[in-house]
Amino acid sequence: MLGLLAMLVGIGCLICFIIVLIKLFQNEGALKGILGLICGLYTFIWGWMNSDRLGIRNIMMIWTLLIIIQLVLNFVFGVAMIPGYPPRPAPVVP
Amino acid sequence: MPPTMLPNAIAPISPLLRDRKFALVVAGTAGVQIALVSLSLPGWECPFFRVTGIPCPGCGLTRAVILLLKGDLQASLRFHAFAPIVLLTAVALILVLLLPRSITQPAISRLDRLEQQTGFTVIILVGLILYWLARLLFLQTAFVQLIRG
Repeated sequence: MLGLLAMLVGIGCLICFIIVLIKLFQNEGALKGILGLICGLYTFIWGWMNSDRLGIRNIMMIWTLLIIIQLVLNFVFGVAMIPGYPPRPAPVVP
Repeated sequence: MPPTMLPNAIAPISPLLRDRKFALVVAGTAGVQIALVSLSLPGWECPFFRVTGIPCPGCGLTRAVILLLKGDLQASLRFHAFAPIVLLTAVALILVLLLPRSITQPAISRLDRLEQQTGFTVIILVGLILYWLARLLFLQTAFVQLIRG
């Protein structure tokens, strides 16, 4: 159940990322677009800083909410959609 | 404009350094991300890798930068060969934020001219994409396993 939720959150994040990335390519050109492709954080920050101008405030709010849900799922439940990612420390064996 | 100069679109780094507010947010967020990953806490995850399982061109960069900061150059380069360039850019961002405008503005203008005349940012970004494609095509299993941890 949590795995399914993590998958849906992940897909939502990817969709928001692609929408903002397209805006980044359209508004800032190919090079900054590639920069955004390499560094999702850059795309996320750029999206928020230009959200009012581009009218993507709702998308940014949804993306942020999904990231928070993702962090909670990772931190509290240790849910990861891809097995072994993010890496967890090996259990201590006495 | 000198004949060797190319359009402004090929200089994406200098405008980033010129915008102090943007530079502050980028440097701050990157610092938080590095701190979280260093402490093995959940931080920003690549949305592309999380859903597809295929690493993006920037996957592994945070860990590579952390290893570089710890002085483990070999392990850092194994994770991502472009970590030194990213770290250099991060240092430039921090310097822009810390130093007075009277010092940073002429330096940024010089960097802007250099970017436009040589197109080195384009070369780096294209190189990064080619590096990613090569890893994906020729070392796919090892690449994915390395990124998964």
